Amino acid sequence: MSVIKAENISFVYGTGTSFEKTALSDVSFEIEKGEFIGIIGHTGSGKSTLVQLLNGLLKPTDGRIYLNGKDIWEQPKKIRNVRFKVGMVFQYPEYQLFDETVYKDISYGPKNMGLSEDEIDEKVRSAAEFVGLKKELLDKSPFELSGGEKRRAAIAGVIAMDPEVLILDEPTAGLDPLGRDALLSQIQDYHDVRKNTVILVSHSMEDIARVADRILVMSHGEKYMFDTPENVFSKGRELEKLGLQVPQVTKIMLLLKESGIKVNQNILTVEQAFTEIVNHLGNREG
Amino acid sequence: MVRDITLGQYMPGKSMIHRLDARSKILLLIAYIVFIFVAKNYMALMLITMASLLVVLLTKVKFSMYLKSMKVILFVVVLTGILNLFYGTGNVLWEWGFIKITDGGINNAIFVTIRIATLVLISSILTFTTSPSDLTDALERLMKPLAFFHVKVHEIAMMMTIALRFIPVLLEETDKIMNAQKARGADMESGGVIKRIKALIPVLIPLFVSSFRRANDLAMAMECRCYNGGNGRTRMKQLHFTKMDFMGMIFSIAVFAGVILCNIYFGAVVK
Repeated sequence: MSVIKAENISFVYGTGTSFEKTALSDVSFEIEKGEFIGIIGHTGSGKSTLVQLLNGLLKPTDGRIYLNGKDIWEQPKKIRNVRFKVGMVFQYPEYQLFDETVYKDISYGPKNMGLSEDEIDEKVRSAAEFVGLKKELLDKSPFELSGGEKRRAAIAGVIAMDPEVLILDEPTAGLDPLGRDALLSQIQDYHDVRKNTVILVSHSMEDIARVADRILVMSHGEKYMFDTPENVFSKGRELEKLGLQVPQVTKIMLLLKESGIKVNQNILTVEQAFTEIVNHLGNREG
Repeated sequence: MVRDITLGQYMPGKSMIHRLDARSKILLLIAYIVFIFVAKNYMALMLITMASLLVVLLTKVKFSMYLKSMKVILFVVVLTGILNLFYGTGNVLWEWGFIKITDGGINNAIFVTIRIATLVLISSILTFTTSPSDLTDALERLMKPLAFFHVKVHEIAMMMTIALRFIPVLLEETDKIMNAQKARGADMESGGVIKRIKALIPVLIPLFVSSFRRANDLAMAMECRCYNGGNGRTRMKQLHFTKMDFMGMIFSIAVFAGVILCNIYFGAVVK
């Protein structure tokens, strides 16, 4: 059974006012347990609205969202339980830190869940480990940390709730390339170890191509495509029309193919491209 | 949602009233407010209300926007209306214990309600048709004489500009942080007063921190562009009085004269 199922969901901002704006229209999809999903789309394509609908921060104007087969808005009073199961890390999450120490801040979520002290302690420590926060930082004030450490602490605060589905909205925005790579690998490790579903929202094709099992492409509030990275990026020209960039290597392979060289265009990483080109040259000479 | 507040929102447009000099709009608003309280009987009040409605028509802003801004203070209007019902002398119409309603009280209630409604209406005219930057600019010019008494006029105006500019930003930020904490299970909708106040701490602290960060960034950016207070600062947009402003003033003076005449000839209905 799918862990998340969206059925014809639509969302309109400011209904009945002069500022009415449709952010999502008639989007349906299913996400299987343990999948790593990437969501891409240019600014204003509705991806942030979509993920806020998935954990019940917004209520769809139309349509239903099912979590493990149950409509999340069946009992509106218990929507908090949905939010514990679908953890959401917002853009620039470091701006949500507030407590005296990093430890206390990370334990805010588990505490709201009503867990015992021991359980909280265990969850906080394992979450901090996942995001690579050093132990000695836990007793510091979150405001003393560096930018990257703050971001990690904030992500740990969501991971500590041990959600079945973890949603990250542009987690690498504003980080340097090294920090970005490190954070992405940690998210991937988290996915591999916990076997939980992870949804990553990003506009960086490189990031998403590296980690996602399937990619949901959003455009103007509609689902444009929902397929494996290979299939999505093989439509490079269409994506460019939507204002999206395919990864640079994929683009190069696409150009090579278009100029008549018979290479496989479903290439997502530099390593793959290297092997493919070497193979191709080998074939030609052989 | 907090964002739906209409009171004091600028509605861009090109109507006659939009094009009036912001200084004359402020001065005329003050004068109208004074004369609303000068009006002592229905004739005088009707005159000034009608004049305000005429100006409202001239602004070409949808009337529903004005109604919306009235809705915000509807509670205040109704409350003062009801309170006034019980203050008043004259023939007792209805009595229950120590509460009694007199015809004078009913008169007071109706009068005060119209008065407040008109007050909100003309105040909305100013904020709907004047951009915040024009408004603070005009205030700075009008307060200039106070500099003689060592009042830091330019600094006050600059603070107002910045405050107005950052209200929407802060609202948006509050929304964001609230959502982030709700995603971590913050419960802001249930529980007693103390529990609710405590639930706000995770929202207020990040909000304060980011406000200071923003203030710091802004100060730095202003200094980088060589801002050093009001001395010797020139303006890109100069304020000019035009023929229209004089016409507006003549119209208003006529209205005020009418109010005074009505007061003299029709006697007072409110004590």
